Amino acid sequence: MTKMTLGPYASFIVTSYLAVVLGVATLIAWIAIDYRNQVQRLREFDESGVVRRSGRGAAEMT
Amino acid sequence: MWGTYWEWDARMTSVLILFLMYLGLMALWRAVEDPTRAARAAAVLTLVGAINIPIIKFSVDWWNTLHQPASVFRMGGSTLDRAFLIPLAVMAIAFMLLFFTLHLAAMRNEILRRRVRSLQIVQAGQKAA
Repeated sequence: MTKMTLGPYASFIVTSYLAVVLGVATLIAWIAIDYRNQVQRLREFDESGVVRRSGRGAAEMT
Repeated sequence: MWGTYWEWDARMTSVLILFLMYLGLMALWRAVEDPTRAARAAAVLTLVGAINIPIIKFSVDWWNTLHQPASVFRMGGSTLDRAFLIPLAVMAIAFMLLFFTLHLAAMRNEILRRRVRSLQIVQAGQKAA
């Protein structure tokens, strides 16, 4: 098996991959943190006794 | 396109406009406080922005700039070698699935955010009573 070389565009290729990894990781983290924040706020409503019109708990997922 | 970070090429410029529209859409959504009015404004901008989609697709055929003419989805089949076409297709499918999943997760967040908003109104009503 021959060793792959990136040639004179190595810096462009590596920079592009790093930028994509950073972008996608940021997006995933943003959505995950947002989810945790919303669930936390709903738990606080549950603890303070505020319920939905249906009578179900605020943090219930149905 | 190749061997340069940036060029005012038809494809790159039209995709830049799409990117700026996405940023504008996000800013517009956050700038209007009432979600119903924000949704209406965002919907109008989305419809106007959709005009850019065929422009992006055909930009490489309409303007002869640095990017090569259509080479994947074209009449007569792809001109790409299989060594490039297969990894390109695999990664395109992978990214579509990833963004579909993230989109679903973001939709769930939005549902929860609206539930929070409703409960804030309920709570405010209870305090006022």
